[in-house]
Amino acid sequence: MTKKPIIELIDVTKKYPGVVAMDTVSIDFRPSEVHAVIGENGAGKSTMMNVLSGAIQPNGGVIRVDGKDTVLPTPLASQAAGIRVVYQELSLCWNLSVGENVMLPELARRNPFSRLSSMRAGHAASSVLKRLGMEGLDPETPVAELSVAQQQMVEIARAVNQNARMLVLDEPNSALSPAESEKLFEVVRGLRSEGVSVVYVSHHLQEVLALADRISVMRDGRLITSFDNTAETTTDTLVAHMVGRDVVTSDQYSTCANSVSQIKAPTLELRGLCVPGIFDDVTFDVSSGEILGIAGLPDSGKDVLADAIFGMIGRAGEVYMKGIRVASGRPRHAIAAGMAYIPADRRGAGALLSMSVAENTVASALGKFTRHGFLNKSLIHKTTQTYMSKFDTKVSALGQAVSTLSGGNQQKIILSRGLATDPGLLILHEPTRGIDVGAKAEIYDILKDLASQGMAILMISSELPEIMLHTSRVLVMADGQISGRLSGAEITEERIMALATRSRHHAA
Amino acid sequence: MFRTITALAGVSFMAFAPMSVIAEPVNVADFALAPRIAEKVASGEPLNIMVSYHDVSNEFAPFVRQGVERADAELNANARFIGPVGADADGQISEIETLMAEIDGLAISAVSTDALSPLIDRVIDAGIPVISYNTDNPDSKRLVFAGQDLVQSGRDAGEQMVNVLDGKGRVMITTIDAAAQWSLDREGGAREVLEASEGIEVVRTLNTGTDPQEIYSAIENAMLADPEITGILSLECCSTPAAGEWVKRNGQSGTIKVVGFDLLDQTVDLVIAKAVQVTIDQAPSRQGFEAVSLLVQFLNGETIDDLDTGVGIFTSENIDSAM
Amino acid sequence: MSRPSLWSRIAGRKELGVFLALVVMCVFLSFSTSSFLSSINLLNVGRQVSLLGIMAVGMTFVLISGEIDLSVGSTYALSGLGSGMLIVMGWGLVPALMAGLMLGASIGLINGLLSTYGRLPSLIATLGMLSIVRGVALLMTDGQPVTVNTRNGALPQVLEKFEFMGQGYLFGLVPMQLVFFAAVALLGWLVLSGTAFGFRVFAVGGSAKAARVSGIHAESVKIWTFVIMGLLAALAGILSMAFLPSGQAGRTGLGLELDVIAAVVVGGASLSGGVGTVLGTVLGVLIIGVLRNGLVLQGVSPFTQEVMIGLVIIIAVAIDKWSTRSRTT
Repeated sequence: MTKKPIIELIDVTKKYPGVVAMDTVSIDFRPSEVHAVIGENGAGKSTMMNVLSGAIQPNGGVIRVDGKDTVLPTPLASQAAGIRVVYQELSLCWNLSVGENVMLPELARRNPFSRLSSMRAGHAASSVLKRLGMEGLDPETPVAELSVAQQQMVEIARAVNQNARMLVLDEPNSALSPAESEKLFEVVRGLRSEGVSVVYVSHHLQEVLALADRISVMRDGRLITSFDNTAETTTDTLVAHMVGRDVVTSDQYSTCANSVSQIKAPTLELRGLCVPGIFDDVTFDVSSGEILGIAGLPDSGKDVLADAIFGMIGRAGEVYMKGIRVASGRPRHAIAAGMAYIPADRRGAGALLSMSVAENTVASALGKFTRHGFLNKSLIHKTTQTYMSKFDTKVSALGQAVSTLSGGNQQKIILSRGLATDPGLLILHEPTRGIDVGAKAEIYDILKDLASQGMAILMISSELPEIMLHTSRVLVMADGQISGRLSGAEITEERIMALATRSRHHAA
Repeated sequence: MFRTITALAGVSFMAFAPMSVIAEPVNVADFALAPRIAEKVASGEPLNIMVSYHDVSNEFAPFVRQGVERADAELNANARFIGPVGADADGQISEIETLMAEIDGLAISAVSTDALSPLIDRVIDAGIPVISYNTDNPDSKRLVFAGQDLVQSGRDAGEQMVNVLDGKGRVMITTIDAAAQWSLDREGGAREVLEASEGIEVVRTLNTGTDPQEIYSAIENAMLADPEITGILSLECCSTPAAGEWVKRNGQSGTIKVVGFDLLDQTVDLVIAKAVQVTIDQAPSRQGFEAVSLLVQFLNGETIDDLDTGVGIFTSENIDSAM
Repeated sequence: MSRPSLWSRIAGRKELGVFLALVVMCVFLSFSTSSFLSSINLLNVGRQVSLLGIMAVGMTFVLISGEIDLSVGSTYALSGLGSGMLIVMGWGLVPALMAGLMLGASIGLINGLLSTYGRLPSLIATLGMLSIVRGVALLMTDGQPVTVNTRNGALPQVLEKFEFMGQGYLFGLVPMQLVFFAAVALLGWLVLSGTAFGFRVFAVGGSAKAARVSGIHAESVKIWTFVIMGLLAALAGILSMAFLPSGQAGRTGLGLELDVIAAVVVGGASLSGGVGTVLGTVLGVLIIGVLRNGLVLQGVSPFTQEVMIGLVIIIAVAIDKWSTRSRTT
């Protein structure tokens, strides 16, 4: 591995008023290498990506491309240098086809009066898709009809199609199922063998270990260490570098989660819940004090379950909270009945992004914070303070806009908002998606505490470790139905995957 | 002291033609009348006379319509009052195009003379007689014009202003649409007379906009900007009462003279209260009636000519006759 | 989490840019014209912007909730003319005012229902209502001007009170229209920044989905903002009628909706929802009012005035956008 680096950053620094986002970072990226960059949220990974993409300009340091000092003042300059960034937030035109999306940068450069042939675009696109092992994807399909995983592949195909020498992938598999992730790894390995330098930014340490040739760890804007990935490297070494402190690691948890306190009468009862075309006949209970996990592949119907229970979408079947039936279609009825919901789409459906920390905290329980219709601002502040310190949420002021916080802190605020209504049931959908390791551990701690205090918790997740380690019972969904129920020692990765991949015809 | 003129209906002011071409008297014998209309005239069926007005939602429209309705009742014609809501040339054109096949005679008061002229020529070419009323289209092939000459009415207003100011003072001209042809014509007439009078200075033309609240505010601001103004000459219906109202509320009735147009309720009240000295009536109802009448006469073989529908000049002395 | 200093709180306020622009304009006008700084002129400016301001407060609610209302100019005309006609028909003051206000509120209700349960974009729904309401006003008045005076049938004691609302002065000094504007702005500020309802308006406009997850009934919040807008447009229309005291369905309030939206946007509210303040709107309204007044005092030609007003709208919003952008990146 002594090839000449494509890109080198030397002592690159980016300061904002009051914050140093990148502090004298020196790092290089070589051809035919998968270079993983890990770190907690706010460690400086995004800033580095933005420097590479030309979106922001560093205050100091040198960028070298092929050994020559260069500036990347615009994204176009960065692209001209062969750098392509695929962000976690996808940027496809939903109204165009796969082929058109792949060819978009090229079409954008054409003169405005040149004739367009969607056939040609499709043809050109299909060769790229083939190169990435995605022959099955018809270039004529509108991207709106694709799954998130497929959309991501289209985005990667678009980047590769522009002769990328260096491909930066930002949290590429946060929305992917294990099988889809495996497919993504194949693509990444394929690109590496073609000489592409792949930069892989991720929270998923297992994958990083499986995929990376070299690993760099960032913390507080600094590059802590860079080392080759060897057989001796473990997740624990990575976590220790990332957080710079001892964390309660996954293994230490596993013993606690299963030792559930005494289970009482069911808090939530679902009877024959059905959303036509998505899932049917879903029946289960969640009791006070337990954490029930729901696992399944992305198309199993589990991702719509939470919305249906909470009444965000129309549904058939019956939902009872503490024995009382909850009507459909009105989330506020669900809240009144004692449900709290933490949706998966944190930025779209979870946080009120444009509003402040305090406003987000009290949004669901406004009635408690008003007197004669007027907001009681001192009570709001007091309550918010309490939650912030209880969950160790890091905010600079209670009036700070939630959009400026890290994912972990946003999630804690949404959790506070749910708890402010004094719920009996907490529904979490992908509770730790896109959240760094430290904050993840804190959130699991909070959930465990809540369960021990008698909260009923329903956790729907695509992350198997999360399901396996932090729940007391697991329901697996496949093909719109519950394909199996596991508890205690039955909860293993193999059994969950077996149930999740079982098709309807085989389900007993 | 100032004289009171009441230009009676029928009295002609044909001695001027500053911006328009005087139409020759015309007879249907010299006109290529569409055969379907000729048949209709021969059979004595009532004729479809359409009277298109440039904005059926403005305050004159109801009066013009009354005239048209009277003609419908009294003459052998189905007279219909049409036109766009809000001054809209495209709307006026497309409505006439749509109705063209059933029109036996068209009287038109145009939103914009330039925009409507080609349409008028097309209607004429289709063998349908067209006259203009209220607002003229001198450059088109229209047969004759029935109404009040705008430049002359501007001169009349100017003369009234010179009179009430006894020949000296600072005058502001107000209009709700300074760029409109009718406003420019009338302003031209008024300025011609005012500027010929040595003791009078025209300080500005104020464009007030059309919303009533806007008109009042504009006048208020302008009066504050130039407290020396002693006369306000309004060119139309709608800034007249606003000017009178401002004068009355600021205790300047009689000190600052107002000369304006038309007989809106509010204007009549202000003339009685002596906050408006003179208002000039354009007899809109008569314009509507005469428009239909001219077309019926023409189609029945009579020779027709331009018709001045005249102005009525009202002061506190004769305002009773307007009520 | 310490409380920020007074200065940093002032400097951090979104309205600061608009406020400074207003100050600059006022300073410039006081030096360049002799009459701008007179108390009569300032009270005049206040009165002249009052009706625009009353409607702009309502529009602030609508825009923050992520919607828009184009029908306000027509509502202004219909309600004012409606109340005026009823007074001319010999009605008492309170019933006539109530009828006019209810008319405005019902138009708001229809706008709200169409834009929520009717699933029409509010731009389309209220564009349709703009035309319908204007048409109803023309039908109702038969295109004739409505003048409220005793000769037409208004009762003298009713007319006197009605005219006081529009033309009178509080303590012989402050125009009544300005008093109404101040009251509406104060109430609007309290509701928007201090009540649960105001909170919900921001939440719904920021993210309707997240608001729903929080248990906020987005539809009813939006419907209420439209009803408030309708009520305030009606109030402004009635005050206009009381001031003039005459109106005409073809001209009254024509195109007013664009002035109202411009003032609110100049004041910092976002057309995409979630952002805006009543204070900003009041400043936006004042900027437009001072500008109109100043241009006339300066003797600027009417056609140049149009250009200037357009420039100020674009510059004010551009400064706001550019400054917020530099703050977030």
